[in-house]
Amino acid sequence: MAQSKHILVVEDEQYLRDLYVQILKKEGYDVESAVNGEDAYHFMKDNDYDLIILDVILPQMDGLQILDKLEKDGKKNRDNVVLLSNLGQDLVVAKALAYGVRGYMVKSDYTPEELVNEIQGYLSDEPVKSKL
Amino acid sequence: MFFQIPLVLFNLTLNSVTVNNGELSIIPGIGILSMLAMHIGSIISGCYVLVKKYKSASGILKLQLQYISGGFITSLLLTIIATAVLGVLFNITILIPISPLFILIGLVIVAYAIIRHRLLDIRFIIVRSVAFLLLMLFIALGYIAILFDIAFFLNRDRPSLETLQELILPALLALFFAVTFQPLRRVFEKLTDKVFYRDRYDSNDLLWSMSRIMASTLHLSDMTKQILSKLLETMRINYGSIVLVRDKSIFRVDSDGDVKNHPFKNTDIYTLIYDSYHSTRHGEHIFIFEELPEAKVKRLMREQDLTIVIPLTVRKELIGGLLLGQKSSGEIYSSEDVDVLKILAPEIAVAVKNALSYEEIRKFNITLEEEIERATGRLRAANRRLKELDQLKDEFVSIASHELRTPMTAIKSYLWMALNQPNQKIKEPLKKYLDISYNSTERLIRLVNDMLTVSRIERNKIELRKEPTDMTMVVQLVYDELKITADEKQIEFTFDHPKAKLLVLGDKEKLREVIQNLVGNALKFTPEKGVIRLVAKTQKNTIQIAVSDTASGIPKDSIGKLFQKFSKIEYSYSKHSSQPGTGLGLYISKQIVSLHNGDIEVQSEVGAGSTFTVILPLYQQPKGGDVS
Repeated sequence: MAQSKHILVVEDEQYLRDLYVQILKKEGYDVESAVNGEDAYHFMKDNDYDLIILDVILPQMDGLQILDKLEKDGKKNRDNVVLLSNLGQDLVVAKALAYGVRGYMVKSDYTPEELVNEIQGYLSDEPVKSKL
Repeated sequence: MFFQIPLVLFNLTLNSVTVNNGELSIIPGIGILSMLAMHIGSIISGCYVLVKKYKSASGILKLQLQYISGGFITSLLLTIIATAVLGVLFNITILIPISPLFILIGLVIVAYAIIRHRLLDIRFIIVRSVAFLLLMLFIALGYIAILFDIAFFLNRDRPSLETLQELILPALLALFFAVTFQPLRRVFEKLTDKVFYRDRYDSNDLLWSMSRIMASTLHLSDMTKQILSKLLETMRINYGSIVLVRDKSIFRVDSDGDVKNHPFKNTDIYTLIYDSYHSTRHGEHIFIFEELPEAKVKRLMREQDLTIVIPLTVRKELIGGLLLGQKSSGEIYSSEDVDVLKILAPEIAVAVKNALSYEEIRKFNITLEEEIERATGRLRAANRRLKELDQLKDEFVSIASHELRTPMTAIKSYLWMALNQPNQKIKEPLKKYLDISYNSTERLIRLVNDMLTVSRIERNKIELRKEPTDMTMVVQLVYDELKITADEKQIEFTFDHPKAKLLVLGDKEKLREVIQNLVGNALKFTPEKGVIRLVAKTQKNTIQIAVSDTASGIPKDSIGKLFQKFSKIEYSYSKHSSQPGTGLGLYISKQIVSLHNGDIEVQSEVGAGSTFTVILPLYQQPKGGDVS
């Protein structure tokens, strides 16, 4: 495994953020985290990540607004973005996917192990369940 | 009378008149008897005609007849007193020579009637007489001239031609006069009309055009405008007004002519209309200025500069009045004018009433339209509100599910972490407790997911991403996923399918959920070492995917309830499962299949097992189309 991969976890819910950071760090990834939209935007603007796990509902600026703002800044690459949210409606998912992100995951559908597997799949570019 | 003429000529009526001592002595002849008979006869027949007319007459005609009879009775009485009573009985003959003058009294009274009460259209008679006299004069002069010529010609004494000319010429002349009489008369009539009778019009024409106006116009203001304009133009009146009253006041006035310089005081006008309606004057409901006695009404009419006031009534109900000013020529209204107005008034009244009704209906329609507009507006607002509420509901469902799932994800994840600590075995019963907690959390999450789906289905908010989908692939995915579980339960789990693709037009993910739900159910309820068979095939224009199990089966009367929401059927799967479902899975599956124009059928036998069959329409690949 290429353990030096750089991952950003954007999650406002502390328990979940701690969990994701913990399990990903345990896998040897270089993990950073953001707790709100504003921070996330600046992190994403200033750094290059191998993978960004982006929540949709966030304080200050939601996940899709961040993508909009980055696009205006000329940062249009979304290949490294996977949306991870508990919003599960078809319309929301369809709208999110229309942004050209790599995948959309519903948090409650995954056990920590499954989530790690998914993320590894994205990083190694192997076919994964949530990749559409 | 003509018979009397020769009697007078031959001195039969009066034999001789001599003057004795300065007094006239009249010796009557034999003809005096017939003359007496003639006079008495004409008086009697005249009286008869008068009485007969008087009986049938009404209104102003009766009054006119009163004047005539009054005048002549006065004349007659005076004459009789002067000639018969004084002359014959008392032998006072002084009044006899002036007795013809008594006739004048009668004439004066008649003249008064003519001027004041339009007894005879005297102007018309004068005009006609002038025309006639002119014609006579022309013919007479012509005749004289021609006859003079003839006489001159005859004097040459040529007897051979005399007879012939005497016969032919008068005949030709007679013919000539006969032919020229009518055209000449017309020419002179026209001429005299132009000079003396400018305002003349054909009352029938006027009445006809008025009827046409009233019949063709329903709009009140248009109609009154046209009526007034036509009336004023034809009769040459300087001002006219149609006033409508209701509840003892004027509510509408349409005027024409010299409106600007015309006074109009509502209360006075109303009084005039009201008084004319209640007027018993000659039994006629019309005020004509010249005919009124000096009183309040006349004063009001003078002040308001009105010559005629006619009330407009419909079935004895006063609806308004027709007011007319003076004639432009300054002449008085002729009896023909008044007759025409009397005929017109009730017609105008009815037409106005109809127009009013029409107006009311029109206004009512407008009110109705406005009312509908308002109601529609309210409905629109309500609809907007409902849409907003629907939107809010969507948002609520979305937020609620999101908010519910977030803590549940944390619980689920940390329970999982607790259960899966590396290199650490959890002691019973703690492990059991954690397992139950974990499973319950999973169930809660599924319930939230299912309710979210149901809510979307029921609000038609479900979005199907339909595309040509190979059902074999879909079933294979589910088979692969659940094979492990089946193996764990030592269940014989098979999947039979034809080699060809089984294409349907559908949402791959949703259809996968349906199959997963059915197979999941079968796995849940089939006891260990049981059998579950998946069979995919085409039948006619459909694709059928059957899921058969060897579970305990479902009683027939419960099958219908299987697809209901939260169906609490007597025979419940949940009783036989350690992992109870949400009670929504089959309902959702059925709805999703329905959205694909398909159906789910159930065959079951208690003790033997069940078969759930998903039937979907076969996708007919377009010719030349490439489906991946």
